Amino acid sequence: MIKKLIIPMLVLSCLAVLAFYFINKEETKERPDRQDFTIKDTAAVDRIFLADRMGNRITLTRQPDNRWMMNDQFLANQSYIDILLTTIRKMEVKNPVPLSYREVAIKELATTGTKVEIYKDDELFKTFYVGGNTQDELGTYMQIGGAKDPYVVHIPGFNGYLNTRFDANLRDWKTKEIVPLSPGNIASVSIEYPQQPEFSFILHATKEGEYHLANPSAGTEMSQTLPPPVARTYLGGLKNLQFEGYVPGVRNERADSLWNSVPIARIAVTSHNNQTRRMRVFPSATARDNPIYQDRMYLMFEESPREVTQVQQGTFSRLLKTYPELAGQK
Amino acid sequence: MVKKKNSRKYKVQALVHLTILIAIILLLNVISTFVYSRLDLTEDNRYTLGYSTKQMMQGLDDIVYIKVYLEGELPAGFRKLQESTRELLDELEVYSGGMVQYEFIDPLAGKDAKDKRYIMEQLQGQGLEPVDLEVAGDEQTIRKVIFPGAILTYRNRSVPVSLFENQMGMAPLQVLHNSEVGLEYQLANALRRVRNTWKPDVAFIHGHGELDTIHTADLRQELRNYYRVSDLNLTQYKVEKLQEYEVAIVAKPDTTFSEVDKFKIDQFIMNGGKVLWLIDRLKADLRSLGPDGTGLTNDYPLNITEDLLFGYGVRINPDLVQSMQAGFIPIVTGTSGGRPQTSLKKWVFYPLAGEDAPHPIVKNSNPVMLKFSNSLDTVKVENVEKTVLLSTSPNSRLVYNPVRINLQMVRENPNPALFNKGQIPVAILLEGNFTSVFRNRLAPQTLESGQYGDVREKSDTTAMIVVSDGDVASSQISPDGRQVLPLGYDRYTNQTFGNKTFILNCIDYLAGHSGLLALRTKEIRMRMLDQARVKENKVIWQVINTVLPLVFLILFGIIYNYVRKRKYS
Repeated sequence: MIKKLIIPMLVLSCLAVLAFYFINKEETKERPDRQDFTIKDTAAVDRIFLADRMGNRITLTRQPDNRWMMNDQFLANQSYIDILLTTIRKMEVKNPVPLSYREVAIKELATTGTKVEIYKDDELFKTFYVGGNTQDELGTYMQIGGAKDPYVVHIPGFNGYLNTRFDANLRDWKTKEIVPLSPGNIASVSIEYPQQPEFSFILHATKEGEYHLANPSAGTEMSQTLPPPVARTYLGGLKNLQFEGYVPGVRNERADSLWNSVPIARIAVTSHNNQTRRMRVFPSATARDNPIYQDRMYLMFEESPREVTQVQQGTFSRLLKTYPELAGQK
Repeated sequence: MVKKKNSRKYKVQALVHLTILIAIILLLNVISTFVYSRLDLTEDNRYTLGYSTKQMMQGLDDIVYIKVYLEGELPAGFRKLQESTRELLDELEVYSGGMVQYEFIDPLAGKDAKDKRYIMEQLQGQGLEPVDLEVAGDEQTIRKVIFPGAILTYRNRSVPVSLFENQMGMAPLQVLHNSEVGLEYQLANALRRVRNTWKPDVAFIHGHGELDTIHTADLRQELRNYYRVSDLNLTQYKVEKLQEYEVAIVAKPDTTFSEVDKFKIDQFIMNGGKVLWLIDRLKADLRSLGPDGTGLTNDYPLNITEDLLFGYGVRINPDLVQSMQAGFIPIVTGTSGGRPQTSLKKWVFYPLAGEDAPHPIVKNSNPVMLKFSNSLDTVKVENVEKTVLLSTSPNSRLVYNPVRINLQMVRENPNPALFNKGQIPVAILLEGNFTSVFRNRLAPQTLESGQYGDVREKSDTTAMIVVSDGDVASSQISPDGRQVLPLGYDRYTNQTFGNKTFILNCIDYLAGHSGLLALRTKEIRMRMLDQARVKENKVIWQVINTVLPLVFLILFGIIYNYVRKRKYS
């Protein structure tokens, strides 16, 4: 019987060796999941982690109310979040990176790339690295974590590159909203004008929709119940109020000395759940040198890192009212 | 006891054999998924790649990535085209050693209306043409836009590839079949285009009233993908200057060439240069007709036809070709509400040429529209081979100079009996060793003057193409004069003729890309069913296909049982 089995066994062994060879050879080929950058179901994404080689690290976390927090500390810029989610939903492989550029692309991804981790249901779903842009600026080099080859990725129908959408710079992701509360959730707004105390006021709002306006320096002489339409118009004007941007070139120590100087106004906005955002308004130094900035002011928030932002007077006047204006005396 | 033991032994042996057999089958299946091989048993070798394609694939030094936009719900014809494309790409992948990678996608699937619009704009911007289709769904027929093409990327460059060649006046099935046949050429040509780092020089000759840059703008734009295109005023340069170029285009000159200029072209040819001659012998133009819509043709004061072209082997006759198969012109047929009413009328002076000639330059191309073309004759010249590339339809005739052109002619139906001249050649390819027209012609003093340089009297093997119409390379301009329309596009009928492809193929051929162009000649016959016989014998074939296998099965069962009974009873 053994004699009869020699030839079939030999054939079987040869075939097994061949199959083993081909299977192992195939493993070196790119797996399809190594080029699948798209995440179709972005509604299920609840956390995104971005880290660049400059040491910037950002964790964006979806809140129950669908707003996103950055590093559990700041409210994230919703428009940036929307763009990021749209990007990971729509981006596709444009083409593999040419062999002639592969080494360079991999090195560049390793040295200057941004690591992106996408979490679904609190579990890591996908990791990829975002590198530079192609020469024609119509594609971005990306590589799935653990994959051998990088790819050029783009959004079909969109003429542009994508890497700026994965920027791990903290500032970019912070919301520019000055009062990130809905008008109904504001319990009080306090504005103190150190150089004109008669303009200072505190506006109290109860949950029941009653409003009380007072000047703290004048005691009970200047205190009154505010008609709801007046109060609601004022508080409604604070919605979507945004600062213009960060003032470049202002270092930390200068920011601190500015914070400790006498401001135009000190502002505190408190929510019904007792969270207070404090800020100070200063005259703009750049306005003196550059007429373009004449209608600008500096705005600083009492939070770390303390940074100097710039606001437009015209827009900011929606917040910077005075007691006489609200009380209808002016 | 021994019997029982033997029976057990046989059972074990059979089981081991069966296990080994199953294992072998499984392993063979596994191996077959990795090993690709194909045996082309077709008569026309339809599944065998051309030599130039194989060479191109073997010479690839970087990844060629092909995104094919033929996916999703498609009508049967396009599904077949999709399958053929996939098979061809598999073949290319194997020959390229994995350098060719491809992906089939439906670019519009799952996209919202806004994204669809952007994607369509992008694809059109990249050079892919949409096709509007009706696809039969489960309950209703839906309209669908598809882009039957691909984008081929090599390194940082991308080029579009049209996989569907819409040919005028052809049945959809035939168009799809021709598209399938042309797949290899289209892909190989795109690959050549995308890899082309070295571009041969092509010169438009000037100095004798040739076509201006506006009328040739579209052609130049297309040529720049493959060639370095220049303009060369022949009168300003020495003899040697022209020899820097691979191909010279002489497009519709209308004045006399100086002897020196003729000598420059002649010596260019003698040194292996190639020339595309687009020559009008007679001055005939709709714009030059008088207020009564009539005019007479004149000879252009050209002096290259009698000596140069005649010497090389072609005579351009002083006549005009009329053909029953012709283009249209708009004619005012009346007024309505004070406004002139125009209608399109067949204009026999605009013949459509190119009746399925076998040469790669014109194979499977749309007809070329000529305007006031002359007839061509070949002249016996030693060592020069002549091939007719374009000829008019069999219902053609000639009218001789001076020809009276009258717009009123469009109102009369042409009499077929008069169009009895048969096919008239209008484009001829000359290949071989040409003899210099200046041989034994220049006086010793002239030669010594240094103006002419050394005279070469016999050329190496070279080629030239003579087309008896200059307007074949001229684009129409939009009515406001701002936009140059694509070459071959007729704004009156909204049809695109094969002029651009023809000129590009001519230059490709002259520039030495004949290997690639030869793919165009690949002949694959359509194995069409005889619809009449299908209808007639439908039931018989249905029975044969369904009942006959069952009969065979039953017969096999009966015989098998009979044999078993005989053996073991």
